[in-house]
Amino acid sequence: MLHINEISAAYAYSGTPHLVLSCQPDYTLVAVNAAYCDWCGGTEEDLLHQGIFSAQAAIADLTGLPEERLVQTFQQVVSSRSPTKLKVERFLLPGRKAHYGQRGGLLEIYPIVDNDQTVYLVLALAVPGGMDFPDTALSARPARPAPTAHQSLEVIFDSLANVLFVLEIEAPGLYRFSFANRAFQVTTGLPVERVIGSYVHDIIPEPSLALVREKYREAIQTKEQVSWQEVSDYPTGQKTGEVSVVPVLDDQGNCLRLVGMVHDITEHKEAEAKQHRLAQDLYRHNRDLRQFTYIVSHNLRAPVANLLGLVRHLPKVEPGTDLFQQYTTYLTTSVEKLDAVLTDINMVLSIRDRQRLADPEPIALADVCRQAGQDLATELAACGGRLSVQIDPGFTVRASQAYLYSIFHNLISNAIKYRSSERALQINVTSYRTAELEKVMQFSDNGSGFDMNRFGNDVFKLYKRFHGSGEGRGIGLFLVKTHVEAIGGYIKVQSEPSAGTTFTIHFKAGL
Amino acid sequence: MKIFIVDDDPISIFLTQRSFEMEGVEASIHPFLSAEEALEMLGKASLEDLPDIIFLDLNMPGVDGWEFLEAFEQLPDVSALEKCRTYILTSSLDTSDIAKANESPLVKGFIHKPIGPEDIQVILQAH
Repeated sequence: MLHINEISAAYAYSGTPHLVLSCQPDYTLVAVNAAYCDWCGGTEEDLLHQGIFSAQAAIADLTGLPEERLVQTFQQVVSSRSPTKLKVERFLLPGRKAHYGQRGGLLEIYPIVDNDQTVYLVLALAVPGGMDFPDTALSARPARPAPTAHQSLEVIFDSLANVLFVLEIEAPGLYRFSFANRAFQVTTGLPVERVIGSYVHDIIPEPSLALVREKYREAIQTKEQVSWQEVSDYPTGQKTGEVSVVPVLDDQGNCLRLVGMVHDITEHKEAEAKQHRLAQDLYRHNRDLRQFTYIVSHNLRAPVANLLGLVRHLPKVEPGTDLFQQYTTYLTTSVEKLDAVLTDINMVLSIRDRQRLADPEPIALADVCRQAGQDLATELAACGGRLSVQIDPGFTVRASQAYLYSIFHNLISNAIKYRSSERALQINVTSYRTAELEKVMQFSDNGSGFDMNRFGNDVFKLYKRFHGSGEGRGIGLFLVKTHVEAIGGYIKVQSEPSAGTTFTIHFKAGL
Repeated sequence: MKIFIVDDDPISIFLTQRSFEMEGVEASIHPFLSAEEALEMLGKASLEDLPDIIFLDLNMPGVDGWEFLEAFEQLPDVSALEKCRTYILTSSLDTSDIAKANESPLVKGFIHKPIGPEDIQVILQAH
């Protein structure tokens, strides 16, 4: 932690034409710079230990802002421990003769924080072009020894919101922190006192460590700035930063140290991820809504249109006749069809509602597939079909058993329904893992297949049918897709007419 | 008058046939449960056997109503296009279907199921 004397010295001798002062949270001045002394018309000794609202220090007169407004802002900085800015429209000229109204300025207020407490406030009044002082005021100052450049820089570094650090290269691959600013502590939660003097490998956790060492090496070798994005776990939580390191070279071009900067973009990244999730959600809901509208206007409307036609004719049909009987039969069929569509819609919506209640127990996929095969054994035998399950017994998925069963049951039923009349049905179910550790299940048949160009986009849509034979309601593959997505996977299809169809289901890693 | 009905729903076909009967219209009505069957018949029919009116459903498995229209346009005998007046007869309430139908020069009208006496009168007057 910097001592206030150092801050004071740095202020006093920074040749800035802007006014800089520092006070305790009770507004007692502890440091003032030359420009401020000149404005007040006093010496540093006069001003220190006065309040900033005193007649001589007169911060309210200086900024032209009401005292209550200033107090309110200062208290906010003290309690939030984060800097703020105030626009200053008019401020008084040196000598307080007139308002200097033409050029506005900016009053910046920074907290200096120690142990989670604001110990000092730093006020800087920046004026475009600097405050114009009469030449006499400045020239009258006695010369005093200037502080080292390093001291001034530390003050500036500590007031920055971006993380800054300096690494000494002690040996190839051995980096020791020689400086870290206050933002380093605020961002990582690691005390600066502990960081300075420590080696990088004692401070930065893996797997980030391997990455940063690689990047440091690159900066040293190329002698150029290297930047990257980094995600690390620190006491304050997971942080995403945009990191740059710049090599500092000596006259011979040897790299002596690295200066690093980190721009904390955690919030930005979180907002981005949230927005991405929202967009995906919105897209899915939109797609569902469009599909729902389609179902209402086509599939729900069809039996209703029939019912309307039938009941309009009925008063003109003589009861007891064969024709009347025909009408009542069709009425029953239409009402049943209407009920079936409503039941389907209800089932689909309830699957979507239950998405997050998936059974966390790992379930062996091979077992579920065999079970579905056994339950359809009669149908398979009737058409001379064979089901070959070659799924790795260790292939498990954390998902609802009922959904997995439904997936296999529908796929096998589908394969039986659309088998080729020219050859005996053969179904092969296999599994493998991708390089990204996704579990993949493949379900292939040698059935009648379909034209991907014509039907590829519609295969998984509700009530879409491709076979004029009258078999199927067009809900099986829609349910398969809904169940796969509810589990957290996705499904793809590949097919060739009169060769067969392959469904590929990806279960994301960690399922 | 000769009428073709292209629709995969037998109840809907029954209702259209009955509606013409109840209006006392004398017509020979040929139902087709798939667009493929209807296209085959249209392709080989003589001018005399071609229907005066085609009622076409949109939402059908296999070849749907839109694909029927595309295939119909490609038929080698242009006289079929001139003779047959095609009406979309669908249960769909989807407005995009109506807009799409209006774009097709082959389509003479768009009727929501079930077909009513007023629809039949309009069709007969146009004929």
